[in-house]
Amino acid sequence: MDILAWLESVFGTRGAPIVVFFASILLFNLVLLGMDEWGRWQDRQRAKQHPMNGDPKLRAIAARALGEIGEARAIEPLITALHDESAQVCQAAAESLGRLGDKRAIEPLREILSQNQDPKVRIAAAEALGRFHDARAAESLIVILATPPTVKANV
Amino acid sequence: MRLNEEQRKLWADKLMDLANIATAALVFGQFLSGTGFQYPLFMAGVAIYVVLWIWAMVLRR
Repeated sequence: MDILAWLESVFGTRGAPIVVFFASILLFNLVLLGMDEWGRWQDRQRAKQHPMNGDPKLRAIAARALGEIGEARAIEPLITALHDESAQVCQAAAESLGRLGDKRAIEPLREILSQNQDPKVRIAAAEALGRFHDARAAESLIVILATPPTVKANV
Repeated sequence: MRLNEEQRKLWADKLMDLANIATAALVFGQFLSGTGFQYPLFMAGVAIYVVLWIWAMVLRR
């Protein structure tokens, strides 16, 4: 009752009901938003605890899917995935980065091409670099092309 | 409760509609009522608009 009296004193007898009406809608929406955010948080927790999360095959599929989606937010996680312990994941990440064509991926791909020990990963990195119309990518590929056959056999 | 992206977008659109109605009622409605300008009502209208606009942006992110 005191609150209503205070609202009437501030907003007037005609303004107070309108303010109360909009405040009620705000409160209702706040509850809805809270429930939605709570549901999202629970989904994230469930996803983190899923037993398949450590599966390299699933990570590789996720890396390929990110390349298909073409979302810019995928670049950083894919660059991180280039250094995954699983060669399958590195290969998928390299392919996706080549497909996405973001210039931020050039240096990490060059690094993978020159340092990674797995032939399939290096091939994926070379193919990905081939998609960039960039001098740095070309430079790395020229070095690979000019490497003597004994060394090139590992690529 | 878990809303999908389409439902969140629709909700955000409706919140913007509500923000416009609140502004119309509390800010511009005063000039039509003939009872004179009330600063608290004007501020309440602006505050509700800002809150709903931020809310809609959060839902669209």
